[in-house]
Amino acid sequence: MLIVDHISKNYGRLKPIRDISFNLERGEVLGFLGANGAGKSTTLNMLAGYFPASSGSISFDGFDIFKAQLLYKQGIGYLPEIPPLYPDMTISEQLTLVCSVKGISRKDRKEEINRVCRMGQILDVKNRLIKTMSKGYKQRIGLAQALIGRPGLLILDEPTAGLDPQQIIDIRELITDLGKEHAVIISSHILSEIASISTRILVLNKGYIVADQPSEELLNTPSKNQILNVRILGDKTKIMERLSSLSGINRVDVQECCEQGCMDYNLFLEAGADVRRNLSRILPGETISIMQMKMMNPTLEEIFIDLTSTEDD
Amino acid sequence: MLAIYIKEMSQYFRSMVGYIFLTIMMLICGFLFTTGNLMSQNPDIKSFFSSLFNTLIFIIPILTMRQFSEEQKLKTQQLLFTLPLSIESIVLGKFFATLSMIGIGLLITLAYPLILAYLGSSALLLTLGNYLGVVLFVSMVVAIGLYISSFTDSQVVAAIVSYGVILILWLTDSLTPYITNQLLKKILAIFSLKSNYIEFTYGIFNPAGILYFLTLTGLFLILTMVNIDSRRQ
Repeated sequence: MLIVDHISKNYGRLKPIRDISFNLERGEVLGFLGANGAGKSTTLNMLAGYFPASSGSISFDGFDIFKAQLLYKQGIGYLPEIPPLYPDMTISEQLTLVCSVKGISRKDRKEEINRVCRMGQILDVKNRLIKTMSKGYKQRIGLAQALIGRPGLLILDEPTAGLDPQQIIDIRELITDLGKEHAVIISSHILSEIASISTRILVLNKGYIVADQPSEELLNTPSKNQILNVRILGDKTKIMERLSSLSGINRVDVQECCEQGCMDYNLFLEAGADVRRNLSRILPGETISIMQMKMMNPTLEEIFIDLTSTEDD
Repeated sequence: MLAIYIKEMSQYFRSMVGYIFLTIMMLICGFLFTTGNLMSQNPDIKSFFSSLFNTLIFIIPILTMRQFSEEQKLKTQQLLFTLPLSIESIVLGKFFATLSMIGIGLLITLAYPLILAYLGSSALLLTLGNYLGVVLFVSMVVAIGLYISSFTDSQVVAAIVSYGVILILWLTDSLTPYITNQLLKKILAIFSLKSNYIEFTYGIFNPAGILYFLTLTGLFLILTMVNIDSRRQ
Protein backbone atom coordinates (compact mmCIF):
# COMPACT_ATOMS: atom_id res chain seq x y z
CA MET A 1 0.00 0.00 0.00
CA LEU A 2 1.19 3.51 -0.85
CA ILE A 3 1.02 5.92 2.07
CA VAL A 4 1.54 9.60 1.32
CA ASP A 5 1.64 11.49 4.59
CA HIS A 6 1.51 15.29 4.67
CA ILE A 7 4.01 15.92 1.89
CA SER A 8 4.89 19.42 0.80
CA LYS A 9 7.34 20.85 -1.68
CA ASN A 10 8.93 24.26 -1.29
CA TYR A 11 11.16 26.15 -3.68
CA GLY A 12 11.98 29.08 -1.44
CA ARG A 13 8.76 31.05 -1.12
CA LEU A 14 7.10 29.09 -3.90
CA LYS A 15 5.04 26.16 -2.56
CA PRO A 16 3.73 24.06 -5.43
CA ILE A 17 2.60 21.23 -3.11
CA ARG A 18 1.05 21.89 0.28
CA ASP A 19 0.36 19.18 2.79
CA ILE A 20 -0.91 16.35 0.59
CA SER A 21 -1.97 13.06 2.18
CA PHE A 22 -3.62 9.99 0.68
CA ASN A 23 -3.35 6.20 0.65
CA LEU A 24 -3.55 3.87 -2.32
CA GLU A 25 -4.20 0.14 -2.23
CA ARG A 26 -3.35 -2.48 -4.84
CA GLY A 27 -6.36 -2.89 -7.11
CA GLU A 28 -7.05 0.84 -7.24
CA VAL A 29 -6.49 3.16 -10.20
CA LEU A 30 -6.13 6.70 -8.95
CA GLY A 31 -6.81 9.43 -11.50
CA PHE A 32 -4.83 12.59 -10.88
CA LEU A 33 -6.58 15.73 -12.04
CA GLY A 34 -5.48 19.31 -11.89
CA ALA A 35 -5.10 22.38 -14.05
CA ASN A 36 -1.69 23.24 -15.49
CA GLY A 37 0.56 24.25 -12.61
CA ALA A 38 -1.65 22.56 -10.01
CA GLY A 39 1.28 20.40 -8.94
CA LYS A 40 0.43 17.09 -10.62
CA SER A 41 3.83 16.39 -12.17
CA THR A 42 5.66 17.67 -9.07
CA THR A 43 3.68 15.23 -6.94
CA LEU A 44 4.25 12.34 -9.34
CA ASN A 45 7.98 13.11 -9.49
CA MET A 46 8.14 13.05 -5.69
CA LEU A 47 6.24 9.76 -5.57
CA ALA A 48 8.64 8.31 -8.13
CA GLY A 49 11.65 9.47 -6.12
CA TYR A 50 12.93 11.83 -8.80
CA PHE A 51 13.29 14.53 -6.18
CA PRO A 52 12.51 14.53 -2.48
CA ALA A 53 9.61 16.17 -0.72
CA SER A 54 10.49 19.15 1.49
CA SER A 55 8.48 17.65 4.33
CA GLY A 56 6.25 14.66 5.02
CA SER A 57 6.80 11.01 4.23
CA ILE A 58 6.06 8.56 1.44
CA SER A 59 6.18 4.78 1.78
CA PHE A 60 5.17 1.84 -0.36
CA ASP A 61 4.76 -1.69 0.98
CA GLY A 62 6.45 -0.55 4.18
CA PHE A 63 9.54 0.90 2.50
CA ASP A 64 10.11 4.55 3.26
CA ILE A 65 11.31 6.66 0.31
CA PHE A 66 14.00 8.33 2.47
CA LYS A 67 15.08 5.46 4.71
CA ALA A 68 14.93 2.61 2.18
CA GLN A 69 15.17 4.48 -1.10
CA LEU A 70 16.39 1.62 -3.28
CA LEU A 71 13.82 -0.88 -1.97
CA TYR A 72 11.06 1.72 -2.43
CA LYS A 73 12.16 2.38 -6.01
CA GLN A 74 12.38 -1.35 -6.70
CA GLY A 75 8.62 -1.49 -6.20
CA ILE A 76 7.63 1.30 -8.55
CA GLY A 77 7.40 1.77 -12.30
CA TYR A 78 7.35 5.34 -13.60
CA LEU A 79 6.39 6.77 -16.96
CA PRO A 80 7.04 10.53 -16.91
CA GLU A 81 5.38 13.00 -19.27
CA ILE A 82 8.36 12.77 -21.65
CA PRO A 83 9.51 9.12 -21.76
CA PRO A 84 13.18 9.02 -20.68
CA LEU A 85 14.80 7.05 -23.49
CA TYR A 86 18.30 6.83 -24.96
CA PRO A 87 17.94 7.54 -28.69
CA ASP A 88 21.11 5.67 -29.64
CA MET A 89 19.94 2.43 -28.05
CA THR A 90 17.62 -0.17 -29.49
CA ILE A 91 14.39 -0.81 -27.59
CA SER A 92 15.76 -4.14 -26.47
CA GLU A 93 18.97 -2.55 -25.13
CA GLN A 94 17.04 0.13 -23.26
CA LEU A 95 14.82 -2.49 -21.64
CA THR A 96 17.85 -4.68 -20.85
CA LEU A 97 19.39 -1.73 -18.98
CA VAL A 98 16.27 -1.36 -16.84
CA CYS A 99 16.10 -5.15 -16.30
CA SER A 100 19.69 -5.25 -15.07
CA VAL A 101 19.16 -2.30 -12.71
CA LYS A 102 16.00 -3.92 -11.36
CA GLY A 103 17.96 -7.08 -10.64
CA ILE A 104 16.31 -9.40 -13.17
CA SER A 105 18.67 -12.32 -13.77
CA ARG A 106 20.27 -12.73 -17.19
CA LYS A 107 18.30 -15.89 -17.97
CA ASP A 108 14.96 -14.23 -17.20
CA ARG A 109 15.66 -10.97 -19.04
CA LYS A 110 14.65 -12.12 -22.51
CA GLU A 111 11.34 -13.45 -21.24
CA GLU A 112 10.67 -10.29 -19.23
CA ILE A 113 11.50 -8.03 -22.19
CA ASN A 114 9.18 -10.03 -24.44
CA ARG A 115 6.42 -9.84 -21.81
CA VAL A 116 6.56 -6.03 -21.46
CA CYS A 117 6.99 -5.59 -25.23
CA ARG A 118 3.81 -7.61 -25.78
CA MET A 119 1.97 -5.47 -23.23
CA GLY A 120 3.22 -2.25 -24.87
CA GLN A 121 2.64 -3.72 -28.37
CA ILE A 122 6.22 -3.12 -29.45
CA LEU A 123 7.40 -6.71 -29.80
CA ASP A 124 7.77 -6.47 -33.59
CA VAL A 125 10.06 -3.42 -33.38
CA LYS A 126 12.12 -4.28 -30.31
CA ASN A 127 15.39 -4.42 -32.24
CA ARG A 128 14.99 -1.00 -33.81
CA LEU A 129 16.82 2.12 -32.69
CA ILE A 130 14.73 4.34 -30.43
CA LYS A 131 15.69 7.49 -32.37
CA THR A 132 13.89 6.13 -35.43
CA MET A 133 10.59 5.58 -33.58
CA SER A 134 7.54 7.86 -33.63
CA LYS A 135 6.17 9.69 -30.59
CA GLY A 136 3.47 7.08 -30.08
CA TYR A 137 6.01 4.27 -30.11
CA LYS A 138 8.25 6.14 -27.68
CA GLN A 139 5.29 6.48 -25.35
CA ARG A 140 4.71 2.72 -25.50
CA ILE A 141 8.41 1.99 -24.98
CA GLY A 142 8.24 4.20 -21.88
CA LEU A 143 5.22 2.26 -20.69
CA ALA A 144 6.90 -1.10 -21.32
CA GLN A 145 9.94 0.18 -19.42
CA ALA A 146 7.75 1.11 -16.44
CA LEU A 147 6.25 -2.40 -16.39
CA ILE A 148 9.60 -4.18 -16.02
CA GLY A 149 9.88 -6.23 -12.85
CA ARG A 150 6.10 -6.19 -12.22
CA PRO A 151 6.23 -3.15 -9.92
CA GLY A 152 3.50 -2.94 -7.29
CA LEU A 153 2.98 0.77 -7.92
CA LEU A 154 2.71 2.22 -11.42
CA ILE A 155 2.93 5.98 -11.87
CA LEU A 156 1.85 7.05 -15.34
CA ASP A 157 1.98 10.70 -16.37
CA GLU A 158 -0.09 11.23 -19.53
CA PRO A 159 0.33 7.62 -20.75
CA THR A 160 -1.80 8.02 -23.88
CA ALA A 161 -0.20 11.23 -25.17
CA GLY A 162 0.75 10.86 -28.83
CA LEU A 163 -1.11 7.59 -29.42
CA ASP A 164 -3.65 6.96 -32.17
CA PRO A 165 -7.29 6.20 -31.22
CA GLN A 166 -6.93 2.41 -31.39
CA GLN A 167 -3.73 2.51 -29.32
CA ILE A 168 -5.45 4.76 -26.78
CA ILE A 169 -8.22 2.19 -26.37
CA ASP A 170 -5.66 -0.64 -26.05
CA ILE A 171 -3.57 1.23 -23.47
CA ARG A 172 -6.66 2.15 -21.46
CA GLU A 173 -7.67 -1.51 -21.41
CA LEU A 174 -4.14 -2.44 -20.38
CA ILE A 175 -4.18 0.09 -17.52
CA THR A 176 -7.59 -1.15 -16.39
CA ASP A 177 -6.20 -4.72 -16.36
CA LEU A 178 -3.05 -3.63 -14.53
CA GLY A 179 -5.21 -1.84 -11.98
CA LYS A 180 -6.66 -5.16 -10.86
CA GLU A 181 -3.35 -6.28 -9.35
CA HIS A 182 -1.26 -3.13 -9.07
CA ALA A 183 -1.75 0.24 -7.49
CA VAL A 184 -1.87 2.66 -10.42
CA ILE A 185 -1.66 6.44 -10.44
CA ILE A 186 -2.55 8.03 -13.75
CA SER A 187 -2.46 11.67 -14.67
CA SER A 188 -4.11 12.96 -17.81
CA HIS A 189 -5.50 16.14 -19.28
CA ILE A 190 -8.25 14.14 -20.94
CA LEU A 191 -10.94 14.12 -18.28
CA SER A 192 -13.02 11.45 -20.03
CA GLU A 193 -9.97 9.19 -19.91
CA ILE A 194 -9.61 9.66 -16.16
CA ALA A 195 -13.34 9.07 -15.76
CA SER A 196 -13.23 5.82 -17.75
CA ILE A 197 -10.08 4.28 -16.26
CA SER A 198 -9.93 5.42 -12.64
CA THR A 199 -11.62 3.80 -9.70
CA ARG A 200 -10.82 6.87 -7.65
CA ILE A 201 -10.18 10.50 -8.58
CA LEU A 202 -7.98 12.98 -6.79
CA VAL A 203 -8.22 16.64 -7.77
CA LEU A 204 -5.36 19.00 -7.07
CA ASN A 205 -5.69 22.75 -7.09
CA LYS A 206 -2.86 25.14 -6.29
CA GLY A 207 -0.99 22.43 -4.43
CA TYR A 208 -3.91 21.29 -2.29
CA ILE A 209 -6.16 18.25 -2.62
CA VAL A 210 -9.67 19.58 -3.26
CA ALA A 211 -11.33 16.21 -3.88
CA ASP A 212 -10.42 12.58 -3.27
CA GLN A 213 -13.39 10.33 -3.96
CA PRO A 214 -14.35 7.13 -5.76
CA SER A 215 -14.98 7.95 -9.43
CA GLU A 216 -18.66 6.91 -9.29
CA GLU A 217 -19.28 9.14 -6.32
CA LEU A 218 -17.49 12.12 -7.81
CA LEU A 219 -19.21 11.76 -11.17
CA ASN A 220 -22.60 11.68 -9.46
CA THR A 221 -21.89 14.80 -7.46
CA PRO A 222 -24.85 17.15 -7.90
CA SER A 223 -23.70 20.40 -9.38
CA LYS A 224 -24.36 23.74 -7.72
CA ASN A 225 -26.86 24.54 -10.44
CA GLN A 226 -28.86 21.40 -11.21
CA ILE A 227 -30.46 20.89 -14.57
CA LEU A 228 -33.63 18.87 -15.04
CA ASN A 229 -34.09 17.65 -18.59
CA VAL A 230 -37.77 17.05 -19.49
CA ARG A 231 -39.06 15.84 -22.87
CA ILE A 232 -42.62 17.07 -23.25
CA LEU A 233 -45.19 16.43 -25.97
CA GLY A 234 -47.53 19.35 -26.64
CA ASP A 235 -47.85 22.99 -27.48
CA LYS A 236 -44.73 24.91 -26.54
CA THR A 237 -46.55 28.13 -25.54
CA LYS A 238 -48.90 26.35 -23.15
CA ILE A 239 -46.05 24.37 -21.65
CA MET A 240 -43.94 27.47 -21.11
CA GLU A 241 -46.90 29.18 -19.42
CA ARG A 242 -47.29 26.30 -16.97
CA LEU A 243 -43.56 26.09 -16.35
CA SER A 244 -43.39 29.78 -15.54
CA SER A 245 -45.97 29.24 -12.79
CA LEU A 246 -43.62 26.80 -11.03
CA SER A 247 -41.32 28.07 -8.33
CA GLY A 248 -37.70 26.87 -8.06
CA ILE A 249 -36.84 27.32 -11.75
CA ASN A 250 -34.30 29.96 -12.71
CA ARG A 251 -34.35 29.55 -16.46
CA VAL A 252 -35.71 27.27 -19.19
CA ASP A 253 -33.84 26.33 -22.36
CA VAL A 254 -35.85 24.69 -25.13
CA GLN A 255 -34.32 22.42 -27.76
CA GLU A 256 -35.71 20.50 -30.72
CA CYS A 257 -35.72 16.74 -30.31
CA CYS A 258 -36.01 13.67 -32.51
CA GLU A 259 -39.51 12.66 -31.35
CA GLN A 260 -42.37 14.14 -33.32
CA GLY A 261 -44.31 16.85 -31.49
CA CYS A 262 -41.88 16.82 -28.57
CA MET A 263 -39.37 19.35 -27.31
CA ASP A 264 -36.56 19.01 -24.76
CA TYR A 265 -36.86 21.51 -21.91
CA ASN A 266 -33.77 22.08 -19.75
CA LEU A 267 -34.92 23.50 -16.45
CA PHE A 268 -32.13 25.28 -14.56
CA LEU A 269 -33.14 24.85 -10.94
CA GLU A 270 -32.49 27.02 -7.94
CA ALA A 271 -30.05 25.56 -5.40
CA GLY A 272 -31.73 22.72 -3.49
CA ALA A 273 -34.95 22.94 -5.47
CA ASP A 274 -36.68 19.73 -6.66
CA VAL A 275 -39.60 20.49 -8.98
CA ARG A 276 -40.23 16.95 -10.25
CA ARG A 277 -43.40 16.26 -8.20
CA ASN A 278 -44.94 19.63 -8.99
CA LEU A 279 -44.04 19.21 -12.61
CA SER A 280 -45.82 15.83 -12.78
CA ARG A 281 -48.86 17.41 -11.13
CA ILE A 282 -49.35 20.58 -13.18
CA LEU A 283 -48.06 19.70 -16.64
CA PRO A 284 -49.92 16.66 -17.98
CA GLY A 285 -53.33 17.24 -19.52
CA GLU A 286 -55.23 16.12 -22.58
CA THR A 287 -52.76 17.71 -24.99
CA ILE A 288 -49.59 17.68 -22.90
CA SER A 289 -47.63 14.60 -21.85
CA ILE A 290 -44.29 14.14 -20.11
CA MET A 291 -42.37 11.65 -22.24
CA GLN A 292 -39.09 11.60 -20.28
CA MET A 293 -37.56 13.30 -17.27
CA LYS A 294 -33.98 13.06 -15.94
CA MET A 295 -31.70 14.99 -13.66
CA MET A 296 -28.54 15.88 -15.57
CA ASN A 297 -25.35 14.87 -13.79
CA PRO A 298 -22.59 17.36 -14.28
CA THR A 299 -19.74 16.24 -16.53
CA LEU A 300 -16.29 15.68 -15.05
CA GLU A 301 -15.25 18.91 -16.71
CA GLU A 302 -17.99 20.79 -14.84
CA ILE A 303 -17.14 19.08 -11.55
CA PHE A 304 -13.47 19.89 -12.13
CA ILE A 305 -14.22 23.56 -12.80
CA ASP A 306 -16.56 23.64 -9.79
CA LEU A 307 -13.89 22.18 -7.51
CA THR A 308 -11.04 24.27 -8.75
CA SER A 309 -13.01 27.52 -8.74
CA THR A 310 -14.24 26.87 -5.18
CA GLU A 311 -10.73 27.45 -3.94
CA ASP A 312 -10.61 30.81 -5.63
CA ASP A 313 -13.81 31.95 -3.92
CA MET B 1 27.09 0.40 -11.01
CA LEU B 2 27.79 -2.39 -13.48
CA ALA B 3 24.59 -1.62 -15.42
CA ILE B 4 25.60 2.05 -15.80
CA TYR B 5 29.15 1.02 -16.74
CA ILE B 6 27.89 -1.28 -19.49
CA LYS B 7 25.41 1.35 -20.72
CA GLU B 8 28.15 3.98 -20.94
CA MET B 9 30.59 1.71 -22.72
CA SER B 10 27.99 0.68 -25.28
CA GLN B 11 26.97 4.32 -25.78
CA TYR B 12 30.57 5.37 -26.41
CA PHE B 13 30.79 2.97 -29.30
CA ARG B 14 27.24 3.40 -30.54
CA SER B 15 27.45 7.20 -30.71
CA MET B 16 30.89 7.19 -32.47
CA VAL B 17 32.38 9.27 -29.64
CA GLY B 18 34.48 6.27 -28.60
CA TYR B 19 35.83 5.72 -32.10
CA ILE B 20 36.56 9.43 -32.57
CA PHE B 21 38.39 9.60 -29.24
CA LEU B 22 40.47 6.48 -29.93
CA THR B 23 41.29 7.62 -33.47
CA ILE B 24 42.49 11.03 -32.29
CA MET B 25 44.45 9.47 -29.42
CA MET B 26 46.10 6.88 -31.65
CA LEU B 27 46.98 9.43 -34.32
CA ILE B 28 48.59 11.79 -31.82
CA CYS B 29 50.34 9.01 -29.87
CA GLY B 30 51.60 7.45 -33.08
CA PHE B 31 52.90 10.81 -34.26
CA LEU B 32 54.60 11.53 -30.90
CA PHE B 33 56.27 8.11 -30.76
CA THR B 34 57.39 8.18 -34.38
CA THR B 35 58.85 11.67 -34.26
CA GLY B 36 60.03 11.65 -30.64
CA ASN B 37 61.53 8.17 -30.50
CA LEU B 38 61.80 6.40 -33.83
CA MET B 39 62.79 9.22 -36.19
CA SER B 40 65.02 10.95 -33.65
CA GLN B 41 66.49 7.58 -32.61
CA ASN B 42 65.69 8.31 -28.99
CA PRO B 43 65.38 5.10 -26.86
CA ASP B 44 63.98 6.98 -23.86
CA ILE B 45 60.22 6.31 -23.40
CA LYS B 46 60.09 9.27 -20.96
CA SER B 47 59.80 11.81 -23.79
CA PHE B 48 56.74 10.01 -25.14
CA PHE B 49 54.97 10.09 -21.77
CA SER B 50 55.78 13.78 -21.24
CA SER B 51 54.05 14.60 -24.52
CA LEU B 52 51.22 12.18 -23.74
CA PHE B 53 50.44 14.24 -20.64
CA ASN B 54 49.77 17.33 -22.79
CA THR B 55 47.77 15.33 -25.31
CA LEU B 56 45.46 13.65 -22.79
CA ILE B 57 44.63 16.96 -21.13
CA PHE B 58 43.01 18.14 -24.34
CA ILE B 59 41.27 15.01 -25.55
CA ILE B 60 39.72 13.68 -22.32
CA PRO B 61 36.92 16.33 -22.33
CA ILE B 62 35.69 14.68 -25.58
CA LEU B 63 34.62 11.79 -23.37
CA THR B 64 33.53 13.59 -20.22
CA MET B 65 31.59 16.48 -21.77
CA ARG B 66 28.54 14.34 -22.60
CA GLN B 67 28.29 12.35 -19.39
CA PHE B 68 25.78 14.27 -17.28
CA SER B 69 25.06 17.06 -19.79
CA GLU B 70 23.45 14.64 -22.23
CA GLU B 71 21.41 12.96 -19.49
CA GLN B 72 20.04 16.37 -18.53
CA LYS B 73 19.32 17.35 -22.11
CA LEU B 74 17.57 14.07 -22.99
CA LYS B 75 15.77 14.00 -19.61
CA THR B 76 17.11 10.48 -19.14
CA GLN B 77 18.35 11.46 -15.70
CA GLN B 78 14.69 11.10 -14.74
CA LEU B 79 15.05 7.41 -15.53
CA LEU B 80 18.34 7.03 -13.66
CA PHE B 81 17.04 8.79 -10.55
CA THR B 82 13.77 6.86 -10.40
CA LEU B 83 15.38 3.44 -10.88
CA PRO B 84 16.76 1.62 -7.83
CA LEU B 85 20.21 3.15 -8.33
CA SER B 86 22.24 5.20 -5.87
CA ILE B 87 23.87 8.44 -7.02
CA GLU B 88 27.23 6.90 -6.07
CA SER B 89 26.70 3.98 -8.44
CA ILE B 90 25.65 6.34 -11.28
CA VAL B 91 28.73 8.56 -10.85
CA LEU B 92 31.15 5.67 -10.37
CA GLY B 93 29.66 3.73 -13.31
CA LYS B 94 30.25 6.72 -15.58
CA PHE B 95 33.70 7.37 -14.10
CA PHE B 96 34.96 3.82 -14.61
CA ALA B 97 33.47 3.63 -18.11
CA THR B 98 35.30 6.80 -19.15
CA LEU B 99 38.45 5.51 -17.53
CA SER B 100 38.09 2.22 -19.41
CA MET B 101 37.79 4.04 -22.74
CA ILE B 102 41.07 5.83 -22.05
CA GLY B 103 42.46 2.52 -20.79
CA ILE B 104 41.77 0.94 -24.19
CA GLY B 105 43.84 3.71 -25.79
CA LEU B 106 46.62 3.27 -23.25
CA LEU B 107 46.65 -0.50 -23.81
CA ILE B 108 47.37 0.12 -27.48
CA THR B 109 50.26 2.41 -26.56
CA LEU B 110 51.87 -0.58 -24.79
CA ALA B 111 53.15 -1.43 -28.24
CA TYR B 112 55.60 1.51 -28.05
CA PRO B 113 57.70 0.34 -25.06
CA LEU B 114 57.58 -3.15 -26.56
CA ILE B 115 58.98 -1.79 -29.83
CA LEU B 116 61.71 0.03 -27.90
CA ALA B 117 62.48 -3.17 -25.94
CA TYR B 118 62.71 -5.07 -29.24
CA LEU B 119 65.12 -2.44 -30.51
CA GLY B 120 67.25 -2.91 -27.40
CA SER B 121 66.06 -0.32 -24.88
CA SER B 122 64.18 -1.97 -22.04
CA ALA B 123 63.20 -0.08 -18.89
CA LEU B 124 60.39 -1.99 -17.21
CA LEU B 125 60.14 0.00 -13.97
CA LEU B 126 60.35 3.30 -15.79
CA THR B 127 57.54 2.20 -18.10
CA LEU B 128 55.44 0.95 -15.18
CA GLY B 129 55.95 4.23 -13.32
CA ASN B 130 54.89 6.16 -16.36
CA TYR B 131 51.73 4.13 -16.84
CA LEU B 132 50.87 4.47 -13.14
CA GLY B 133 51.33 8.23 -13.41
CA VAL B 134 49.18 8.43 -16.53
CA VAL B 135 46.37 6.38 -14.95
CA LEU B 136 46.38 8.53 -11.80
CA PHE B 137 46.50 11.74 -13.79
CA VAL B 138 43.76 10.60 -16.18
CA SER B 139 41.52 9.61 -13.23
CA MET B 140 41.77 13.12 -11.86
CA VAL B 141 41.05 14.80 -15.19
CA VAL B 142 38.04 12.51 -15.75
CA ALA B 143 36.70 13.32 -12.26
CA ILE B 144 37.05 17.06 -12.99
CA GLY B 145 35.32 16.60 -16.36
CA LEU B 146 32.43 14.68 -14.78
CA TYR B 147 32.01 17.35 -12.14
CA ILE B 148 31.82 20.10 -14.74
CA SER B 149 29.37 18.18 -16.95
CA SER B 150 27.04 17.80 -13.95
CA PHE B 151 26.41 21.57 -14.03
CA THR B 152 25.06 22.02 -17.54
CA ASP B 153 22.87 20.40 -20.18
CA SER B 154 25.16 21.70 -22.92
CA GLN B 155 28.01 19.44 -23.98
CA VAL B 156 29.83 22.36 -25.63
CA VAL B 157 29.74 24.41 -22.43
CA ALA B 158 30.92 21.37 -20.44
CA ALA B 159 33.83 20.84 -22.84
CA ILE B 160 34.89 24.51 -22.92
CA VAL B 161 34.79 24.87 -19.13
CA SER B 162 36.71 21.58 -18.74
CA TYR B 163 39.40 22.85 -21.11
CA GLY B 164 39.49 26.13 -19.17
CA VAL B 165 39.91 24.49 -15.77
CA ILE B 166 42.55 22.06 -17.02
CA LEU B 167 44.38 24.88 -18.78
CA ILE B 168 44.51 26.86 -15.54
CA LEU B 169 45.95 23.83 -13.70
CA TRP B 170 48.40 23.30 -16.54
CA LEU B 171 49.52 26.94 -16.65
CA THR B 172 50.14 27.05 -12.90
CA ASP B 173 53.61 25.60 -13.53
CA SER B 174 54.44 28.25 -16.10
CA LEU B 175 53.47 31.00 -13.65
CA THR B 176 55.45 29.64 -10.69
CA PRO B 177 58.91 31.00 -11.73
CA TYR B 178 57.50 34.53 -11.90
CA ILE B 179 56.03 34.50 -8.40
CA THR B 180 58.22 36.18 -5.77
CA ASN B 181 56.15 35.27 -2.69
CA GLN B 182 57.83 32.12 -1.35
CA LEU B 183 54.75 30.82 0.48
CA LEU B 184 52.55 31.13 -2.59
CA LYS B 185 55.29 29.55 -4.66
CA LYS B 186 55.37 26.57 -2.27
CA ILE B 187 51.59 26.21 -2.30
CA LEU B 188 51.51 26.31 -6.08
CA ALA B 189 54.29 23.73 -6.21
CA ILE B 190 52.29 21.42 -3.94
CA PHE B 191 49.19 21.73 -6.13
CA SER B 192 51.08 21.74 -9.40
CA LEU B 193 49.72 19.18 -11.83
CA LYS B 194 52.91 18.83 -13.84
CA SER B 195 55.34 18.65 -10.94
CA ASN B 196 53.29 15.92 -9.28
CA TYR B 197 53.16 13.99 -12.54
CA ILE B 198 56.73 14.52 -13.73
CA GLU B 199 58.28 12.22 -11.10
CA PHE B 200 56.34 9.27 -12.45
CA THR B 201 57.98 9.80 -15.85
CA TYR B 202 61.35 9.12 -14.16
CA GLY B 203 59.98 5.90 -12.72
CA ILE B 204 59.74 7.35 -9.21
CA PHE B 205 56.79 6.09 -7.14
CA ASN B 206 56.31 9.19 -5.05
CA PRO B 207 53.60 8.60 -2.38
CA ALA B 208 52.90 12.36 -2.27
CA GLY B 209 52.15 12.35 -5.99
CA ILE B 210 49.94 9.25 -5.70
CA LEU B 211 48.10 10.85 -2.77
CA TYR B 212 47.72 14.11 -4.69
CA PHE B 213 46.00 12.51 -7.67
CA LEU B 214 43.90 10.10 -5.59
CA THR B 215 42.72 12.88 -3.27
CA LEU B 216 41.73 15.20 -6.10
CA THR B 217 40.00 12.34 -7.95
CA GLY B 218 38.04 11.42 -4.82
CA LEU B 219 37.25 15.05 -4.09
CA PHE B 220 35.83 15.76 -7.54
CA LEU B 221 33.84 12.51 -7.56
CA ILE B 222 32.28 13.43 -4.22
CA LEU B 223 31.62 16.97 -5.45
CA THR B 224 29.89 15.50 -8.51
CA MET B 225 27.66 13.34 -6.30
CA VAL B 226 26.85 16.30 -4.04
CA ASN B 227 26.11 18.55 -7.01
CA ILE B 228 23.80 16.01 -8.65
CA ASP B 229 21.98 15.43 -5.38
CA SER B 230 21.55 19.14 -4.72
CA ARG B 231 20.28 19.79 -8.26
CA ARG B 232 17.56 17.15 -7.72
CA GLN B 233 16.00 19.15 -4.88
